[in-house]
Amino acid sequence: MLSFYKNHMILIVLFFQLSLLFVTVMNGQEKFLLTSSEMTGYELERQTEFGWEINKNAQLHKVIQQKWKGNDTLFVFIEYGEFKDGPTALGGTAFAATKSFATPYIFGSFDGSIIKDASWIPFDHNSKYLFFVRGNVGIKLGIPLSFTKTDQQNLILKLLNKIELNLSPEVLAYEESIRPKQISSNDYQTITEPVVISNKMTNFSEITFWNSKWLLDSTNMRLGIRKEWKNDQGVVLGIDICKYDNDLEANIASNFRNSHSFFYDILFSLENKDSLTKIIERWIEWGPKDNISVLGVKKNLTIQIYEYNPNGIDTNLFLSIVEDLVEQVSNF
Amino acid sequence: MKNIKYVLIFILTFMFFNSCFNNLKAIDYPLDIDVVLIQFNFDLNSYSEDAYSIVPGYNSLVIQNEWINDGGICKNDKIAYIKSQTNRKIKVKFWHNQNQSVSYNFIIGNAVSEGTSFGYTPYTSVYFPSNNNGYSEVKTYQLNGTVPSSVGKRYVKFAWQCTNYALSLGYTGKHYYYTLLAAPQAPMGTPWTSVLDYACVWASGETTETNVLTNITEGAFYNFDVDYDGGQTHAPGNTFYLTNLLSDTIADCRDMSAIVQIFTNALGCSTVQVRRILGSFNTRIIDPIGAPGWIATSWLYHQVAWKSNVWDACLRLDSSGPRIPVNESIDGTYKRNLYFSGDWDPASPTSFTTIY
Repeated sequence: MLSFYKNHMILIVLFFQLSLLFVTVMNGQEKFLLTSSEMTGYELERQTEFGWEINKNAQLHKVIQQKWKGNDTLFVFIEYGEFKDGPTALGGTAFAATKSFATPYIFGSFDGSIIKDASWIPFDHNSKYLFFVRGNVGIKLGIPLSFTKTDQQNLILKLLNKIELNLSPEVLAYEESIRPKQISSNDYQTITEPVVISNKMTNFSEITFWNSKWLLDSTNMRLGIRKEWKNDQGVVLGIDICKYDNDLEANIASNFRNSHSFFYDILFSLENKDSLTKIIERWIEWGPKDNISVLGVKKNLTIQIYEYNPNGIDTNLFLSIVEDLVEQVSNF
Repeated sequence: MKNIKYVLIFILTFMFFNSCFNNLKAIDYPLDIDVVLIQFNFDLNSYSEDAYSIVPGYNSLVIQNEWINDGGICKNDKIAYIKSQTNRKIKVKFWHNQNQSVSYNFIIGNAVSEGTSFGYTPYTSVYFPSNNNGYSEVKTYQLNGTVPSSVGKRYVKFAWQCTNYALSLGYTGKHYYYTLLAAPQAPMGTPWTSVLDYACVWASGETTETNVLTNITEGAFYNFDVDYDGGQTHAPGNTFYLTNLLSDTIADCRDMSAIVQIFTNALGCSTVQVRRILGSFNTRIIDPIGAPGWIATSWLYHQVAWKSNVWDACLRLDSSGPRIPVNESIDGTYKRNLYFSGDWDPASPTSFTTIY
């Protein structure tokens, strides 16, 4: 074996070089990559092939990794993963984020607002990484702790704009094809309005609206509606609701979302208050103090409720809001 | 008869003085002879007689023609041998400043001037053909001596001489060379100098796999100059992006387990693997490599190097008596000092198989 390597070293090296070039070109990922003109003040120190674990198999999903150097201690890492379609991107990026790192990643973002189709951050906040998905593209971002909120937002926006500009017609067409089955705005409002206008959410204003993605399997997903509200303390509350053809689909989708949200079980039954209480208790033992998420299912509906509070989650208030929403869903 | 005897004596005497005259007459003083090329690794298909093939890093050509000092071209590359090897050969080319239309034979060899030797050359005749721009044949020398008997990174400096003209050719080196435990193992079968610069220093003086493994594990924790970060990696799956890690300042447990496996592979250890402990679990107070110091944390899993037991270069345990876990039972003291609550499920050992 050793003599084989020795004899064919040059050929082996050439093969890997060509393979890297082939993968980069054939995947077309370069259209999503930020360029030097888009990263002013930074120098591209390296751009190489890298790999994500996107399932339990040994084979890695090839991505492109960029390392941008601001100065000797200031670096930005960006990894770009293009997938064949939206469902594969969501499932693959979710696995990469939530299953492949020793430090658990959880559903969330730097400021609590979920980015586009889904986003995740390390639960311990010792470092600043962010995974997010839009369409068939997954991104992993690593930024310095010294980055301001403006720096973060600007960089994320640059990446999102570039992705949106270059999404293929097929990806967008698929999202349109599943829109007819999306829960209506009226139904969403019927469930959420009584809680949103209650005094429990005084001083909260709506900040985002998105057609959320709920995976059914590796090739199919459903559109839900996700809205977020924020108050002047920086607290973000999100409610994401999806409707399905039947109870089975709702259960499948909720299990998927459960495995992609937290490193322990956050799924409860809307018909069983004890199951919700157990999740809160587990969060108190394990969870980060500024981010909480619960996921409920009843009949053909799934609902995810999450809160980000930089000053620490008030579990009593959160639990109360969740219980009110559960009641609305139960009456729906 | 007597006359024939005198004629024979005359002819022989004439021939003797003629050859001496030719030699004496052919030297145009001052005589200058330079060592222009030394090949330590000249056989890419074998290391039975020469140095072991090494490369600078990923995607690099095997290092050859390690020493060059010829017409403004200077080169001094590193060399690798396996410990205790004997009968090493080197190939050397020289240059002289004499009449190029004449051929010469000079008696040339070296002695160790400085450092630790892996052998030295005898003094032997080197042929300089005519019309070869002053260059000699490429002379193969069989070295006297033995490669050091332990792992290390050492150097030797040679002093060269032409003895039949009492001429010093000057020095070559310092020739830096790595001494490996045994033939390197895949996937680091052709080791990188960027790896050996760490591994041979960390395991310096060691002669057994267990001691090499211990020193690599401890050396990696104390001297690899990275900070722990569980949210990033250079070692997804069975692939190790080592080139990237060598220029980055953060590492996770997968990276550190890969370092132990790959760096010991580079020195010739074949039985080191990695093993994942599935969680999630809360840890006791531990000291992950580099910053941030003693902390308790939660992990989805942890990964270690594995050779019958745990070899963990990622952390220290037990703040009251800090130690790097080497050769510890995975469900014994190691678990008692690492695990606090949650799930603890050691998976089967695996190996890193691809390096970039």
